[in-house]
Amino acid sequence: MNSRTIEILLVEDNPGDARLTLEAFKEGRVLNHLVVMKDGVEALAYLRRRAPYAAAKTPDLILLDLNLPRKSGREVLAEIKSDEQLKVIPVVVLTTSADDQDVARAYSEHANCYITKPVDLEQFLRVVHSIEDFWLTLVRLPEKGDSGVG
Amino acid sequence: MVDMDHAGVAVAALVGSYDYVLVALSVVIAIMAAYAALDLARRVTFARGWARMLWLTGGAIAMGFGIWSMHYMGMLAFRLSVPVQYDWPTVVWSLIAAIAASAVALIVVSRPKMGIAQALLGSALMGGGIAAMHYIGMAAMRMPAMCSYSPGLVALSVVLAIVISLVALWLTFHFRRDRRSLSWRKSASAVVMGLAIPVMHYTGMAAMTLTPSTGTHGDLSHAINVSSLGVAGIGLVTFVVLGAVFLTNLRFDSLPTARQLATRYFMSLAIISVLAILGALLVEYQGGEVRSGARMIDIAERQKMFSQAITKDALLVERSPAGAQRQRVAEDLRSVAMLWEKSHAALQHGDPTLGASRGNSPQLTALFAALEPDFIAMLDATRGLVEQGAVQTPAVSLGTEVNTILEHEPRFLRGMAAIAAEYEREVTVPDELKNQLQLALLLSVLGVLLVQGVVVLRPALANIQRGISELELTKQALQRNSEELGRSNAELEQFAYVASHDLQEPLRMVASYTQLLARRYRGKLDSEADEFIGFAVDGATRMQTLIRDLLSYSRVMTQGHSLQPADSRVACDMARRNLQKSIEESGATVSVGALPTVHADATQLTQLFQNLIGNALKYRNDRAPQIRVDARADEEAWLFSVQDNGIGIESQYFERIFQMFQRLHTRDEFSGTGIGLAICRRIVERHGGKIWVESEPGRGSTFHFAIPRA
Repeated sequence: MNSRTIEILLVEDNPGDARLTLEAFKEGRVLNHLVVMKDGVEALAYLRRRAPYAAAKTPDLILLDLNLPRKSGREVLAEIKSDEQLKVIPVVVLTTSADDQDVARAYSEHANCYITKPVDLEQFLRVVHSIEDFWLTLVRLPEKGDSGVG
Repeated sequence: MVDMDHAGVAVAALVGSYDYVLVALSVVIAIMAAYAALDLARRVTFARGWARMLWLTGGAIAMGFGIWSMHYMGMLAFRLSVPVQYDWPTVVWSLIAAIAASAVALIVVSRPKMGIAQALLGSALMGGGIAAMHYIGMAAMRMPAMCSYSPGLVALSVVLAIVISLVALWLTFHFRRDRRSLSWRKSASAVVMGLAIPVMHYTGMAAMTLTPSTGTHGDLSHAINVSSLGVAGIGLVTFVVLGAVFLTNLRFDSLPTARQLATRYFMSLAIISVLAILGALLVEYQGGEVRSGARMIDIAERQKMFSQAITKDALLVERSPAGAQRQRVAEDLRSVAMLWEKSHAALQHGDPTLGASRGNSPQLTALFAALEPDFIAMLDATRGLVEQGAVQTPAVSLGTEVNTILEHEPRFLRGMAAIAAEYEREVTVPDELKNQLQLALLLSVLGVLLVQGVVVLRPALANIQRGISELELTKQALQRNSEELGRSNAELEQFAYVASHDLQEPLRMVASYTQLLARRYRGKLDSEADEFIGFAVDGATRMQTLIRDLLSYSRVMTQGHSLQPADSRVACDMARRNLQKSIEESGATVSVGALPTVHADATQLTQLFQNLIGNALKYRNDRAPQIRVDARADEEAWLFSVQDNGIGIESQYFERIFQMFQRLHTRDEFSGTGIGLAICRRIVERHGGKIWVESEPGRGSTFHFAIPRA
């Protein structure tokens, strides 16, 4: 699995943050392809391959911000985790909120992990690399049976 | 004490004793009068035109009354074994002398300058006035005694009066600008002046020697007794009048109405007191008239009985056989006739020993004149009878005398009855007058009370009501303001929180990308670019710290937890753990004493310790930091202290360091935003306590904070 390109879906409305995450993954060791969706509606459309994302690939990992326009990250999380096909995809909540309630709610909606974005760049880079190390290297993820369809 | 009278016969002088309560009272009155004088001097000095005249007049009356009252208290304090009465018109003259002396004094001291000539003239006039008051007052005394004065002591008392006046004028002139109603210099000069006046008075009293004599000297027609009521009255009026002077001087500057009302109130009190005293004196005087009238009627009735007894004795003398029996009867007749004659004289000219102490009206004089021939005829006949009756010769014809007596008796009896009736008629006048006076007095006191109600009570009540409604309005406005303030404060805190929170987001971008820039391009551009990037990274980082601190400052209020029992030892340990890295780096020792469980927000308590210990680590000198955290209890609070051996703080900054953004060092010396101690203060204040610092530059600082015991 290390040989193939890892698909990552980043749901993030702030382009600066999105780019920063992209830059962080660029410095990573794993070959990856990062797709950015700017709101919850788009993200779900992508995941369900609705137009204009009919050719979308099912991601290996979803990085989800909580504060999103149109449909919030919490709703997106709830929909993913109640969808038989999508719920196997690990979802990492990556947000600026350090609120206890947000954390609790995310886990009760079956988020796979919850990370507060560090303010400092160095730490942010370390966090992204940790995600990469853990989810894309260390962890064994389910085989994607339906990948490449469409 | 023995004195030699002009005839060379030793006569014991009357020795008086002093009632020390009244003496003390007279001294107190003198001090009050002196104080009033000092106050009045200022008033007269600074008043102009009509106000000046008014102050001068009123002041002279008040002050003169005070001096006069002191003098009379002193006279009344002098107790003699003989009854003393006072001639009231003379007493009034002495009061006028005192007022004149006071007026002179006030005029002299209120002039812009006081030269030696003016001072001497003024003191001569004033002292002369006071001495005049004194000796006129003494002359008003009516008593069965001869009054003589020792010239040396009289002269001394006059000199004392003048010297005291000079001192008083000098003191008053110099303190007239003192606006304070109670200053020690003013009080001291009042006491000096107040004590000096009695010195003069009692010297004057000592100058007088009284020799007892039969009968009272002087005109008794206006003499009155001064009862204890009168004493109380004089004292009361004095206190009210002088008290009014003080009260008008009380500074209700913000409340002119209150001052005006107080003045009016005391004026009406003074009027009531004057009325009450005058009334009491008048009623007493009229009562005396009635009593003395009744006594005259008694005597007149007795005269009728005496004349009848004379007739009876005359017949007995005529019919008694010569010898011892007749002699006895004649003796009876003689004694009756003597009493009769004496009483007649008393009725006509007055005699205090018989209680007949006044002159007669023209009607009575006419009646007595009509009676006189009968009286003389009867008296002569009786004398003849007594003379002959006492002779031992057996046969004496006494018929003529007896006939004369019998002839004149009916007319004498009728005349005396008419005189008694006239007395009766005259007595009803003072009696009715007395009743009318009492009624008038009662009505005028009620009138004054009514006026007082209108001019004092009504405006006072209206004023109080207005005050209350104003207070109510002020209270409402204050409440509105405080609500508004509370709201705007809460809004501001919310704003600060939201603003700093939202500022974080774009700032994170700036910081992250400048850092990324630095990471990717340091050393790849030129050295200037590296420097610029360095500044940008540094600025962004500092701003992040600033916003983080601001956020935690606003969180103290907006995001605080409720106060619960919290172990401060746990909070302190937590802070120590959070600071572990800096403690190790600086090689510091942090020792912690026994810490109590307090009623607090544990998170904030941790932050408090962390900031204080953090400062102790940061502001160190070249010594290894020695930090001591301790706590002790006092009655109301737990007193915590965090002590270090760092650079210390100068005392002028003890307050400033707790203010927001106040820093004592440049960033090159010590980093920081100037918010840490502001946060500490906010946390402590949220807990209802306070925080302060003690320090010695170069030796170290001790931060103390108190948290109330729950």
